[in-house]
Amino acid sequence: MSTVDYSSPNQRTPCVLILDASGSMESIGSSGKSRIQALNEGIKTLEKSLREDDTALTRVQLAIVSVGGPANDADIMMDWTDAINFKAFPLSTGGVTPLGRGLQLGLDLIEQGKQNLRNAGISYTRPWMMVITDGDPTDERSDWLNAARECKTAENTKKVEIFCIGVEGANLNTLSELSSKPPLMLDGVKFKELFVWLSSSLSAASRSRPGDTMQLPSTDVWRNVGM
Amino acid sequence: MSRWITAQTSVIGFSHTKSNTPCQDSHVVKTSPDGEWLIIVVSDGAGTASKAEVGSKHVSNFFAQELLELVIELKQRTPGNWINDFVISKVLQTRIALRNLANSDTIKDYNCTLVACLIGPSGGFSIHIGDGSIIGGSLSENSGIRFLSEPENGEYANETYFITEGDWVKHLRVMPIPKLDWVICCTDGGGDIALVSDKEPKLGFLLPVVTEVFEETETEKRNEKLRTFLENPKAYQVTSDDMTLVLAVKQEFKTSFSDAFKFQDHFPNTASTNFSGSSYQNSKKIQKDKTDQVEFAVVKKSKLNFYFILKLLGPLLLLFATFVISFQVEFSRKWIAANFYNAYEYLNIDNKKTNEEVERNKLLDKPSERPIHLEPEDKQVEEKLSDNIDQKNTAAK
Repeated sequence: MSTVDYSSPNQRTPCVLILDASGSMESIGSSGKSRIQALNEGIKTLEKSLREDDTALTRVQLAIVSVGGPANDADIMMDWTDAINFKAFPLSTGGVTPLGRGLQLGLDLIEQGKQNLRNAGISYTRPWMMVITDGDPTDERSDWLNAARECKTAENTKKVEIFCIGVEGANLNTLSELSSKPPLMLDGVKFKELFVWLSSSLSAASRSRPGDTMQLPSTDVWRNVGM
Repeated sequence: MSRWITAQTSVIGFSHTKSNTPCQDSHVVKTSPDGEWLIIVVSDGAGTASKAEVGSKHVSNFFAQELLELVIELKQRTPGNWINDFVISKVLQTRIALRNLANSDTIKDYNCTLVACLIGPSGGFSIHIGDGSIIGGSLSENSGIRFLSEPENGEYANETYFITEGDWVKHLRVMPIPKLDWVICCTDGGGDIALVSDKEPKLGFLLPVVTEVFEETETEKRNEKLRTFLENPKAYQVTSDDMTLVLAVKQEFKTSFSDAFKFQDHFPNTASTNFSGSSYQNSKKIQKDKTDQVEFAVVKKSKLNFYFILKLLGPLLLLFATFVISFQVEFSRKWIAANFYNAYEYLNIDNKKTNEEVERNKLLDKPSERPIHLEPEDKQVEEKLSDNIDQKNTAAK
């Protein structure tokens, strides 16, 4: 029998991570680890679990925006990168939480990413945006409201799927303004579990077919159910 | 005997094996009684719809039967704008029958796509709602004919449209097909395996598969062989969806079918005709201009006097002939009626219906226990169709 070519079609599931790297992420939890340490370990876990999943590895595309950090601004830390080329890197903390600005950068990245994929003739599933923060946005109130409104519109017009995760100390009321899905609270510093969940959820999204409902894994492993 | 030989199969995807749902893809391949026309209907049931497999089965069976009628029409009439109306009315009937089958006005539970084509000796038509693909080509030397009906997804690869949705008519694409020697119809799952980005044949897959499958002389064995290629662990890695592939080639090219996949030909991105059929109207206008020119040339060439006499006498002659013929027809009709009270009974004409026809009529004529409400969109489509017919009638008058 001659060899038959069973290669996968080209398709991407883009996901942008908006990560809080403000000064408050330094605080040390009950486990003895600072939040930022746990977050950085989480990002490593993300790389590892993406590598364990062939479909996700060829289809998932990541970008990272940090909020705060040494530059005390929202910054694109990593432009669109295919999972197969993704190398985890640690974030360092500092400054305040200009989350609204971070969200805007995220939305721009998503539009740019879609455009690039269209130009390359690669089809894609709906992009994801995961927001992780432990504080209150420090943008001007009007700027924050603008950014939050843009996010909500983008979500309602199916431009993006938004997941908002609060870490201890986060203001859930403010966070609930940027998505129609309620924000979820992370249980302690279970970043590892969170990123394993993200990896398998992205894998499910990248595999989803027309007319299917996406079966996402349960969030109970990392979610603070009491909240 | 059919002019076409085919291999077809629907294979359950591993996501459905895992969740214990049945295969939601369906396919039907038919040839017209004279063997000249090939009819392929493929339908992909949506994973979220609870009765998608019933929907896709119904759509492929029912619509294939309806397409047989289009074949009969095409033998009597030249292709034209009426085909769009015909197809729309057939989709409407498929939907009505599905509502009767479901005994409900909403058929969301039966969501499925429609990928269909009929191909005769000199071409045919593709009818497409949603994703899935039809590609075909010629195997005669230097013809370079290519055909493609692309999947229609939304912006995202995991969204598409269904024949069962209210706005189906917006997504219905009817396209003329040129004279083809081979054709492949597939659902999106089958396309993931056999095509490159839904637009080009994946040579690395199709060349070996077609070579092996079409070595077999019996359809059953071909189908079985094609199935083994799709029920492959490697195929399950490519797609988790159900996979349907229908491969068809004209008898005379059955040994050279694989030639189509030996070289990388670029498939043009064929523009689709929407259901207003504007391209047809343009071609009709061009034809009319041409006939005018021909007539003008005739006048110039022939002797003018003779032409005018003919032009004056012609209508009179025609009127007379029509009168004679209609009189004869009327007379003979009465004569037959008088002499053979029931010609059918007298001649013992066997008016037997095929199983499919009986099934079809059962579904359409089924006395409904519920008042039939067409979806508002369907009502509009129906009104538009009858408007079209009215317009034609007034134009004829």
